Amino acid sequence: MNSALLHADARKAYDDLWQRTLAKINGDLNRLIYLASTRDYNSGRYHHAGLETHFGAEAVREALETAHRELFEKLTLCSLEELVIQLALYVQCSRETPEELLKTWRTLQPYRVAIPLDVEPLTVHLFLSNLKLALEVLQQRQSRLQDRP
Amino acid sequence: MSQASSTARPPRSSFANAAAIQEAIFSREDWEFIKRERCSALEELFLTERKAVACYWLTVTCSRISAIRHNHLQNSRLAHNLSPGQELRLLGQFLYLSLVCRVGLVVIQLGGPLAPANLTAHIQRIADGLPVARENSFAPLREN
Repeated sequence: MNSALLHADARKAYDDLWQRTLAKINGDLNRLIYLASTRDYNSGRYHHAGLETHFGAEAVREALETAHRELFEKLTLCSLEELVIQLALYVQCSRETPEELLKTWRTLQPYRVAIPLDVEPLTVHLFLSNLKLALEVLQQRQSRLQDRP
Repeated sequence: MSQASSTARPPRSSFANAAAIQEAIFSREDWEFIKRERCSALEELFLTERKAVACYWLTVTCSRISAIRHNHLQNSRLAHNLSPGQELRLLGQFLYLSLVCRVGLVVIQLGGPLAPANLTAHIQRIADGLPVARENSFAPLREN
């Protein structure tokens, strides 16, 4: 769903989500991972306790799902260069060392959980492929840094 | 939006603008970026990855065109105001698009994933103009 099509309560929850939470997160990939983390692994339903105290659970679910899909779409359609910048930001904000994070992401591919439900397979294919390439770009840059005397 | 409809799964179509995904897949800008990294392994990986996505795009597009054609034929049987000229023109478009999709696959094999960029943009433009049946189980190529 497009955010422009949200009904009134969901729209308010969506605006609140952006103003109070997403705007404070650095980078779209960080935001995407955060939104994916609000989704229950088993049911696929989104929850946000803070927002649910102000808005109905259904409105919050709709707002989270919409924001998640929009960010996923944005990151899928952005250039590879932009995706590398977003990934570098994610690595920078992580508590792990770049080597550790890149190794884990390249082998376990935990970013797969960031894919929203019911997205076209073609879109998923492009997103995963681009992320794989972005990881390799960062890995190459990291290796060059380590090779320097 | 009602409670009932809001709990339903959203449609599988994720993009209002299908042309945007076509542009992203066949983007030369991405290739230029990879080349600037000056790493042959990366270039090779990019070409392999993009080739797979590009072939998938053409296969999916071809399937959608077939599905739209199938639905159109089914709906046409019930229609009373068919225009033979228009139907003939549509048949020509369906056949042309299916052929061009197959040509695109050959071009990718011969010239790489970015070679059919103009061809795929052309396919997307024509496909956007096709009538999309409401019963179509595939994501519409054009938002109505």
